[in-house]
Amino acid sequence: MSPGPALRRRALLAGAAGSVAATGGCVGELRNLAGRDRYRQLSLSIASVPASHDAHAIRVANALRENLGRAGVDADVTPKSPDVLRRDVLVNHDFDLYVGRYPSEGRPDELRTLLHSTYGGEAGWQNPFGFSSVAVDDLLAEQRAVAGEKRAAVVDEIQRRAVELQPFTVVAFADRIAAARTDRFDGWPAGGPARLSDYLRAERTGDDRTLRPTVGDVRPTRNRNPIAVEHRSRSRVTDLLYEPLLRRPAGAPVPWLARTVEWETDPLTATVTLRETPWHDGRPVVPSDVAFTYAFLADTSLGGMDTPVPTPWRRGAVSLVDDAAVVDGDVRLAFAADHREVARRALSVPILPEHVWSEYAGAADVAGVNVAEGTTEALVRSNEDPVGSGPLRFVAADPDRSLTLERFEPHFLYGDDTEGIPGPLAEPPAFDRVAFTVAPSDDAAAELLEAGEADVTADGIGARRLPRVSRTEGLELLLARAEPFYMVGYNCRRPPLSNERFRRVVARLLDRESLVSASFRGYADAAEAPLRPPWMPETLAWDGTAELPFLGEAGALDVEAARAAFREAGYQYDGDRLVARGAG
Amino acid sequence: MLGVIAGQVLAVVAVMLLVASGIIVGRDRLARTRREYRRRLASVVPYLGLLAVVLLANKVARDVGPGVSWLIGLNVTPLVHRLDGLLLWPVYPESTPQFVVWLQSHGSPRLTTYFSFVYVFGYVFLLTFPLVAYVALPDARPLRRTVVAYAANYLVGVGCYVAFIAYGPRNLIAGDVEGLLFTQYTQFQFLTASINHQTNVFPSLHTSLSVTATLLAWTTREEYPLWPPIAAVLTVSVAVSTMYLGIHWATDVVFGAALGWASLRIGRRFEETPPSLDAVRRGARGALGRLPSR
Repeated sequence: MSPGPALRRRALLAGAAGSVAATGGCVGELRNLAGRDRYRQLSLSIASVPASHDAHAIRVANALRENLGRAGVDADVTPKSPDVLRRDVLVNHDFDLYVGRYPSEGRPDELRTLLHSTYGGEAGWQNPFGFSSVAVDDLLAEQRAVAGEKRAAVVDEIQRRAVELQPFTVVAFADRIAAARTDRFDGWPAGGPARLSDYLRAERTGDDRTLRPTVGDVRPTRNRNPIAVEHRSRSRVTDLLYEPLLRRPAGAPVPWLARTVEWETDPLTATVTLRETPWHDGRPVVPSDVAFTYAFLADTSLGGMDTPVPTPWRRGAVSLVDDAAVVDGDVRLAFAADHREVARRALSVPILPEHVWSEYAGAADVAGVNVAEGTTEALVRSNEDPVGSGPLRFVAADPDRSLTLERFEPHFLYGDDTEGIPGPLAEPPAFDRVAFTVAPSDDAAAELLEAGEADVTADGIGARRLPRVSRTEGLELLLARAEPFYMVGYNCRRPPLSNERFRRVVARLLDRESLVSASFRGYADAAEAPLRPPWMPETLAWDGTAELPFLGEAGALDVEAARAAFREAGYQYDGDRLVARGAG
Repeated sequence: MLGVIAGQVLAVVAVMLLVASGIIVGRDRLARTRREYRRRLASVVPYLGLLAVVLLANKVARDVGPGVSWLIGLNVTPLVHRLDGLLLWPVYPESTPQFVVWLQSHGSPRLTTYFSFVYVFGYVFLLTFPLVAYVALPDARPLRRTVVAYAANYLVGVGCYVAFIAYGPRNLIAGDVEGLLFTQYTQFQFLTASINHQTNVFPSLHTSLSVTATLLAWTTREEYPLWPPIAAVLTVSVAVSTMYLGIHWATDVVFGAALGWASLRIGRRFEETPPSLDAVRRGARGALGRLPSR
């Protein structure tokens, strides 16, 4: 009879144990060796939006992917729908590299929001890169404390540091391009309508009292929450519905919801008197709504959670206000900055009705289950029926198709309480309704304009469609330089992107000149600094070569130079692949 | 805009159906069908119910699908891009071009017109003609098989659309590929955008349904000898057009073709008795039984 399987196994184990004992030293060595991570090719993912949403961004992403590939990094481009991309990048911080347009308004204090290290843990446009530098933090604080030339010098220094440390790489300022037909409405500004003031300046040239703009961005048809960062891109539609205390139609501040703003120094405070105007549900806008807005945006849980839950959109502007209180029927704002030119940014925040939003300070839940810690309902609600205070009121929306607004006649613009507002803006709009139609692409927008089914593109068109528009009779092109810039953002929380040396080499894989001519068709200004003149430092003004120059010539990467640069930064190659321990 | 385009497509396809019915189906069959169509439709009622349910489910899934897809789906765009990049490797081992880029490099304005026409009108005709032609047959099985095969295409296709997020070449490699249909014949974009979401490209349902229609044509080659060659030419054209127009990757087309073939197999299986929950349960049990046991 042969031994059973169990017996055989036991014999085998005994033998194995013996040999393990005999080779104990060798195993120790083996464990030291096998316990180490193996070298693997470094792989990075570049997140962006599909070409139908932004053809410029995906082309920059593709160019970067190709050059990373040539330099030996295994890179790919993952297109995501714009709200998903924003959620991954701004809220969950789940990305390697990101290519997109930063909705800048050209104010230096925005850099504080983008780069201050104390914001690294928050969700939103506040430091999405997880960048931290004590020296930069000090400079960012200092630019709030000084004014005039001193401030300009500090802002220069911040930008020089940003270029040196590369938390993100600025690629170019893209022109705003819009198209309009002028047989029904005219008077659009260069670059097309973007803000409420642009709509108010439009003049009627025909009999039709409905304005029909096209939009490429479908998000407002689904979500009209003014602080939901995933859905706001320069807040185009919500800007028509919600109003700030001050507007800046041409750079100079115009008192809007505020009738007057009186400033006092040491410490800097402002006393705001409101105009008499109602919310869209008929209740009056009262000073406590303003005080509530600043408190609420600083902590949307209103003290209900252990840690404050600040707004992810306009966080920087809100952080300028230390305290907002109602005093004798006015609003008294105390600022965290010493100068009016800095503090004024805080007054551009949309004011929210307390009686609506105070109900949404609780924890966000799905069917009663709290799924995301530290998220309030205010940040995730879709606000389908917005109660704002603008001269236009929301009527209806068909998700992914259309959105309609109409005149809200109780608004102060329709009365005579327009003190301090310059001429054309003090008049009611020239239309009764605004009917936005979603155009699935830039070509579709051009088609709608050509067919007379639309009047103007409300969020611009890509440079590639420019010839088509300029060839069409009856269409007008509206071109303007703009503050938003395209950038490559790095997730500085993840190696190797946590290493500024690595980021500096990645920045040198981008040839801005050839990107501007190929991807933007020349309708962009290559740039290395995040602010346009007058805030752009002279030393960083674009002269054809970047401070961190492209490793190649005329769009063609010098592969050897790129590899040498990575090697110099401390990275290793296995053949033609850049390898790192336990990489990606 | 949408209404006008939809009307245009319906009118053109109706004319194509009339002409094709006259030539391929023939006057005798059509005359007989006019007398018998009630009885014939009655014998496929459970199947038509199935198709209605599937189309409704499809509509709901395509409305809700993208949202669910972004929550649970896998973004396979980079992977599909990579697979596609390997396709021409045997031909150009030195520097392999993307298949769709290579295809578009052989383009011409005439080809663009042809493929745009095929993508919109040819495709709708290719799918609807079998329904007309098979109602005109006394045997109910071809019609049943068609309905089940179409339903299978939609069910599997929509399942894939929820499970995978994939953008087409025009949305990823925008610099190298042009979305020709939408730049040259923009009006159709209003139609396609209302039918499907742009993250739904894997697999190509255009290809799978066309392949199914051609395989169906082969099963009825004795009744309609003219139809298989026409269907085959249309199917190849539709498959090429999806790539030529920058809408689909070659990978989507390959998987689409496989789905089309599998759907026909499913259609043949259920042509005698309509699929029911019971049959599905038995089938599942059978499949489980075939799994190797420990």
